[in-house]
Amino acid sequence: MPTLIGYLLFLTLFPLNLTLAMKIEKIHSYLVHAGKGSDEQQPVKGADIPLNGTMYNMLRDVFDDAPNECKHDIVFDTGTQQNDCRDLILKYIDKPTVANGRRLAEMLQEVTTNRSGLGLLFLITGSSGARKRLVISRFPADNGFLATEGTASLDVEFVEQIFLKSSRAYKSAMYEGASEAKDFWEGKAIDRQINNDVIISEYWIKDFLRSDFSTTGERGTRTLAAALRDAVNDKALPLEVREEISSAVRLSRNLDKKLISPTDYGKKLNLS
Amino acid sequence: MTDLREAYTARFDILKAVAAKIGADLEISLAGLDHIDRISVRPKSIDSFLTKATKAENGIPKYQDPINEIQDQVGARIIAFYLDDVEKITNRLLAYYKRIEEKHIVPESEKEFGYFGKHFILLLPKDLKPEGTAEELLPSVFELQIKTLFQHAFSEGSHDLAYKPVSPLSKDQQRKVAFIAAQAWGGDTIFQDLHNELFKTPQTQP
Repeated sequence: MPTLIGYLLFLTLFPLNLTLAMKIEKIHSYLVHAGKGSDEQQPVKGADIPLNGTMYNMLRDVFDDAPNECKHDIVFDTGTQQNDCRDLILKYIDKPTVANGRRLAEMLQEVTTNRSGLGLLFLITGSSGARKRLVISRFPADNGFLATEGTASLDVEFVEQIFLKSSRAYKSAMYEGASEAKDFWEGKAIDRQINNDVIISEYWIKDFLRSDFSTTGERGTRTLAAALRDAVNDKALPLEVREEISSAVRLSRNLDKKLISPTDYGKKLNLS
Repeated sequence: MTDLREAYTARFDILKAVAAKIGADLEISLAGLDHIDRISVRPKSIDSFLTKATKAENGIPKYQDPINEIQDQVGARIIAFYLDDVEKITNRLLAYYKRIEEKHIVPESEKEFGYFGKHFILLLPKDLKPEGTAEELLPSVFELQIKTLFQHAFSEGSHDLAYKPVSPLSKDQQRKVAFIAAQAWGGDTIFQDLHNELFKTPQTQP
């Protein structure tokens, strides 16, 4: 029996864009300090990452998984068809060099607070035919221990500045398209730092990417309401599921003006 | 040119379907707002598209990649009664659509009369994209204009006269076009004043 959350997601999500496998062409990395409010910014150092080896394999997964992992659709914020972040992204996509990516890293540093701390920024570009993709990922710094096992002993060492993808503070964004004029207005993003699935990080999406959600709150609410109405009226669904949806709709009044994703909506109202 | 015609013709039915979806969505999104005379949405005709696509500025083609660069392949127009309604419609519209451009078009000088209007380039929401259509054939944005009845009357009536003249307008003819624009501006201003006087709730005195 299909679950209710699955049903809601099916109704509210749109056809998946089938993306072709893309070949990575360039990877650059930058060490980004917390620079928000600082009069003097630390110089941002960048590096060209070789397209082979263990690190490349890990970053290739980040690049390949980005269309699924970055699940929130975002759009550059502008009323004049100009956005500083988009301009830098287009410049980098057109010519991915350490120098062209550095300004993006500097822009991130300028909005990075001490709370977000040190991070390692990766810019990964690839293409398939005329389509190009840029994945921007920030791995937060953490501390850890390095344990080295000898033949008869164990050496344990404290290590600073380890950058972890699995950390809750990992953030990523993806832009893909074939035409600079038509595409690259919308992108996809994820911010694992925050508990709520939808409350976007001011820092990552608004301040750094100068973007907002593509779907407005009102449109999202209307889409969800239509999906719930259709589900209640869908005689193919078991009666108990339809009753569960009706109860959820009544309880939804308590969620007035709260930003929430379809998944969190189902969880919050204890839908099966 | 033939290739461009073929490319645009190939997507024309898709644009019609998109226009129909936008029209239905605008009707729902603006429901309950008073003083909307009409909402119309249509794809740019094939001939209009080709005329625009082949425009040149100083001998250089204006568009290098017209299929992707021309943003008004689907155009929507909302005609409202009064000037105040334009702002109310704008606020409601932006609750449902994301804009990448918003322009309030007015004549350059305060001493001139000409075209007034509010123009947007709006992102095409995902739920208005016809299912199963390749992204390459779909526009990512569309144009929307909000005008009053008088602004609309002036722009429609003067379009062929002022912007597509067979020969350049004489000074007297230019004055006549400016006179019509001034009348339209005056009509809007007086309509708004009358509406304010007759229908606005008086402020309670403390």
